[in-house]
Amino acid sequence: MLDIFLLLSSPFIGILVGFLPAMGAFFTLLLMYPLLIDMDPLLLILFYAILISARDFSGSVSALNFGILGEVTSLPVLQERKKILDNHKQKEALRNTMIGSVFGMTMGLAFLLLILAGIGDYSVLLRTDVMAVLICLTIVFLVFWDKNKWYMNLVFGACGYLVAMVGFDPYIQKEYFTFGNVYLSGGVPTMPLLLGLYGVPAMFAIIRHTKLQKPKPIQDHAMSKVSLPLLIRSSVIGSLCGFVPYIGSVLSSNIAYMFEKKITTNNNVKSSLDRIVASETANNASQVTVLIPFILIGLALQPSELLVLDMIENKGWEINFESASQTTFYLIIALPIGCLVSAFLCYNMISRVLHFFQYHHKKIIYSLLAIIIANIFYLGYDSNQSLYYMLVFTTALPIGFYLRKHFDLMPFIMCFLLQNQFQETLIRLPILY
Amino acid sequence: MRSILISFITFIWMLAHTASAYDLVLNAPFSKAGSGQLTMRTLAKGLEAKGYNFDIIITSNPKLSKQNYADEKKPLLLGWEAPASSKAAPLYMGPPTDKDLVAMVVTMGHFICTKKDISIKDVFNGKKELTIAHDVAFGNWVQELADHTGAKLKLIPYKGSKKVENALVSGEVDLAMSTRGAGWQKKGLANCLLTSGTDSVLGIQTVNGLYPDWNNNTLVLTFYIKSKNIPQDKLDQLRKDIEEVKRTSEEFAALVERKSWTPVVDKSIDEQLSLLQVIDKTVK
Repeated sequence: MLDIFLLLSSPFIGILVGFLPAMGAFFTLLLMYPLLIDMDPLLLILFYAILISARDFSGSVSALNFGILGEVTSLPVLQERKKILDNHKQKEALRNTMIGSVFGMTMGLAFLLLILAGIGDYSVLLRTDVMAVLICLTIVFLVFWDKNKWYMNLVFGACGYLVAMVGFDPYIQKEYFTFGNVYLSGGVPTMPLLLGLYGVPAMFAIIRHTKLQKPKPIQDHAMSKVSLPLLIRSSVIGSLCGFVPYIGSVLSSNIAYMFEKKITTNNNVKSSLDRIVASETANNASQVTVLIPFILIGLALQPSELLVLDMIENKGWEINFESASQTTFYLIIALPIGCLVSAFLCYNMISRVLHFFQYHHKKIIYSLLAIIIANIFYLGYDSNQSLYYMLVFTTALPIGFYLRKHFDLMPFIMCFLLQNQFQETLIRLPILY
Repeated sequence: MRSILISFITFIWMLAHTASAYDLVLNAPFSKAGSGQLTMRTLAKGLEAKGYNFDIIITSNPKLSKQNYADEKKPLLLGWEAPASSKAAPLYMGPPTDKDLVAMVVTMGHFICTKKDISIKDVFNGKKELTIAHDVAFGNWVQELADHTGAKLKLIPYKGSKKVENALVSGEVDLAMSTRGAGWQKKGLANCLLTSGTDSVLGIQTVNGLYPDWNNNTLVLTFYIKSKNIPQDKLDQLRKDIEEVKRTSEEFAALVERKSWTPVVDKSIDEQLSLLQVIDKTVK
């Protein structure tokens, strides 16, 4: 029952995520961990896909109406905002981006179906050499993660790797960094560490940064048609960008935006509208294709996907051709429904939703904080390690608060989560070749 | 008045029922998603229908489970897996004794399978080097098999049976060794050439049948339960009840069937202990 409730709530949650700077899907999943951990794996994947799609809807809507940069993917909308508002074209922009978003999502689903049908033997993607290529790409992206200096990314990545090594290593048949402690022998628990280091400090950042601008009144005007070639080329750009690990969706909206800027030299409001439609179309297409490696081979290309993968694998979900076909089938049904609900909410109830959150966001976040602490305790209790879990959380918390002021800890988190994959590939590749 | 009386009787009945339940903690170090915890939960469910009341703790940390077992002053069951990858591994624990072994639950052999056109002869004639994917925990046994038979095997280690399966399916390796092999053959994913189990499954030849003189010709994985602080009469009853669950529980039977495991039934405690000692000898 709770599963269904969560699934039905996913468009609402996604919309809230899109409104809020510093929120993001990764952090939302961390916050909702107590609820999501017991969710059926298939429903969890659908929940995640709808949430991401809704987030992108509201990201652009709030950027346009309130000037909030909830998601980096909404940057192009923010850049064109002034011209659209000055010409009272918000309504047209909202309608056109909605059409673009639905078109992009449909195109993304078509890509997913094509790949599922075309690569009957997708198992080639499971090979160690393919994984090694993806790992190299990941390392490059992590080193050049633009929120820190490159050498700091290296330091954080190395630290994440070392922390993940704590415990018994079955390859080397040896324990690392346990100092004879029985709790450390089982490794550092993921959730208390991530919530302390990243999740809770991010909650306080939201409380500090959530400020809204008053929206300008929307006026009715004659509306132009959305160009089909524009929708097609932006969807293709977005769909392809979705395969780029970690930054696929950010790339997609910005590349489609820049591409339109190159081909439409006019600087009138019509061109502005076209450019934001292009970026939103590409963005929604990429949000579906970014799921393809995840669905087909269980390969997470985004931090939030890694968390979902961790949760579904803990439930014993096995990713194979059958599960991929089943997920695709349900995605084709659920994603358009979620998309339409998000569109309806964004274009009709945005002011009410935003104002509700504006007045209550502190209460909501403090309630979530209480749930998180109770959940960490419960997770520990369930495995006879409550004190250890709380200790990891309380140790990580001040470090997280301190480092957040100066750095982005994503390279640490990614390397912590991917250490197993890195190590296995490094050991196996020289033996194989 | 009548409803008060009915409520009172119901309350007394519930109280009596609760009081007669035997409360037990079942501690196990398995992964929270793996077959080990699923086996323990399925067994516990069958036992709960017989009046037991379980608090199941899955630590995912063998050292911690061992310490919990050593420190415990109340009745405790410990679910365990054998063999460990080596004596240095936290999962290693010497075989139980007749005082503390409650029951072996299931055993499973490993299967050596291929997706390619490779026969047993091709494997053991030593003419061509073949790559074999195996769980990192069982590399020693595969190496010994190669050394004993003269097979040219290049060992490729993977963490967990799912990754071994991926290696086989992707064509990255020529052979794969896993306890999932019978399942692969059932699904038509692979053709299994040999099993390291004691008995043939699906007509797959056993290593001990092929090399009866080799003293390490059997590699069996087992889940078993040992106990602490349980009075002898309760322990005897628990052993009987577990035996009955293994025989009659539909859920347990479905699990065993799905995984192509062998339930340990009709074996006395002494026979089970002997089998566990044999398994223990395979650990280096």
